[in-house]
Amino acid sequence: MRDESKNNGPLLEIKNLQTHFFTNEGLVKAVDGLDLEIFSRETSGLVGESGCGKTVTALSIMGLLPSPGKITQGSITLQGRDLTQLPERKLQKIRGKEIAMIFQEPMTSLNPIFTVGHQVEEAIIFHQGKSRKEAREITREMFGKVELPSPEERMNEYPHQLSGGMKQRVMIAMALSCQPKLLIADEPTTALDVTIQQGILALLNKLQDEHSLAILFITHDLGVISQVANRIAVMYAAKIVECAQAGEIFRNPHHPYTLGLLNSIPKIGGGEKRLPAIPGQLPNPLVPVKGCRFHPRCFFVKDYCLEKEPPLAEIAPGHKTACWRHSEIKAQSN
Amino acid sequence: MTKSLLRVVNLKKHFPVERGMLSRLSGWVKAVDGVSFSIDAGETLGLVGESGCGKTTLGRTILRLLEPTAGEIFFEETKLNELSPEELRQFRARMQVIFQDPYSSLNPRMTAGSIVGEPLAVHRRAETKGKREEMVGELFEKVGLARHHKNRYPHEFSGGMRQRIGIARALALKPKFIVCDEPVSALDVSIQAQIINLLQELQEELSLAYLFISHDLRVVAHMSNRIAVMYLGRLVEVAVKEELFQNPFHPYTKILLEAIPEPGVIKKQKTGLPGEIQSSLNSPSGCSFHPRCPLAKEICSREEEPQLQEKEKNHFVACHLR
Repeated sequence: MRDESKNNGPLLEIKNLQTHFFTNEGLVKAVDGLDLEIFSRETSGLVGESGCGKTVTALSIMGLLPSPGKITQGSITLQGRDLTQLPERKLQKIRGKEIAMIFQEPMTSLNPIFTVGHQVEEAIIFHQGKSRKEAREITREMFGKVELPSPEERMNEYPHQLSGGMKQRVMIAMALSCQPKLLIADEPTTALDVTIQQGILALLNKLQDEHSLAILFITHDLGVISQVANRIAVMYAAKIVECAQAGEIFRNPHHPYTLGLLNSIPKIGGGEKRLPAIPGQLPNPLVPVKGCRFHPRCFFVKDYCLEKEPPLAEIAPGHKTACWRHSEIKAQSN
Repeated sequence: MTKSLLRVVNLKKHFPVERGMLSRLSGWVKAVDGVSFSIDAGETLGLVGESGCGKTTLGRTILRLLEPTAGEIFFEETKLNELSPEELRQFRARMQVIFQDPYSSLNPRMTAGSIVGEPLAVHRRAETKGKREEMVGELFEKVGLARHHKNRYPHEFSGGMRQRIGIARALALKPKFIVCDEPVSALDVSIQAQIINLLQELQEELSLAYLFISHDLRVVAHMSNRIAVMYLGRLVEVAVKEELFQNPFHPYTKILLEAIPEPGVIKKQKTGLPGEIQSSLNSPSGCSFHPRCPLAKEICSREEEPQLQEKEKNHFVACHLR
């Protein structure tokens, strides 16, 4: 299935994206030369720690960058159209219709003074020009699809009457009501309990099959991502440092940061030995690192890593990594 | 039986819910509803459960940061319930707490040094100011901060370093027992591992006992000797870590374990647990887990709430069907 879609080219292609924030303290390169391809019917995982630029990448695609953020370079191509060049009026038609997004905190994404049914109807009326009655019909159907218990009743409820998991289901219903081609899910389960998280992940997988949807799934949690992603890109300090098929990333990581992340997750039944933590702190975005941006925290660092930044290079079919010493890095068996 | 460091017997914490202008009492939230357990010196008891199950309230009630509604707390065989405020203050030196949010738990107007030095001043542990400075410096080094960080303010530190300040403050009075309330939940994965390692090193060095509260079973599994699983204000299962993972008795524990997403392991599609955690305001009749329980039988809604019973040696479970 995947190879078939690959032949047709990616649905969304990001090339050398530079998103910069011109803050009072100085220039922050929140995204600094990012390349990413997203294919139909695939879930692409974007993994990284806070502040690495995951969410800014998503907002760049949506054209929703808060000031003082700006795309200064690069292209984001959705089926032949460069989104960075489109005027706001045209972007509005794409946003919500062709690309939809769900957020970490469903509480703040819903308007507390309207019923959830009304809010989903609004989106349908705006994007599809349906009447209120038709929109209500579609909403009822969507609420059923996202497995909300007694959808008819839920439609007349206000956000505060729903639990976190149910609110996220409403958000998913709203996002998918206009049959988008791409769904951006930014930490959609981070605020939820594990048992509820499991349900949302299963739902996303099911809906992806039904709607032939492409999903960009953003998370800091490597456990969550392995439940949903076909391909995974690991982001560190505004750049992608490694990307490959999901299984490959876990079995065969070739970037010291990916390896470090995998090793620093406690394993159940792993005993009480010390976790091989990544030393040091996350970099200060105001102070660019010379050479490889991971070198201050890297166990494999050599002199040349301080001088020159490694490119994201293909080391095996479909497996790219940005490390000068990638061939020496192997997953340790724990 | 060896004497436990901390022993909690049938502890309850109920919050009144008031409605309307006259604040009429309309019900009780039973945040902690009859919890008993003990912790030995140098041991870590992990406490897991979903949000709203009463983990944090339990931690705070043990320290008497919240007054218990009922039940008894023994620390080194002294009953904490009956202590006067002055006596309690002396005991507090031996039991400390580390909070989840390193952003809101440090006073932004105090330097890191004065935050860590404050308990030393309150409890008059240093004769002179110079001596106190020296002790603060030692604490900083112990938790992996540099001495010159003393003069900085909390906002100048990253989340992980702030949590180190919180740990240094907790260690200042040489406690025997620390309640760690989600100490790594707000931190990034790479920083999380550093703090977990630090907590383990300190435990070995100072033979500390921890009550380690977290919603993250992976972290709890790594840290704990024994694990207690909490649901709606009650403990539903308590066992030695290995035993709990290999042989969980309670259906809720089983579901929790299955729901942990393992990196690199693609699980069969599971839909998670049906329904949501009930409100502790109006707990269901019988076993409080029965509305979500896949094994629930008639007895579960009819009978009394099941009590925690020892089904195997040191393996306690509260379920009618086990």
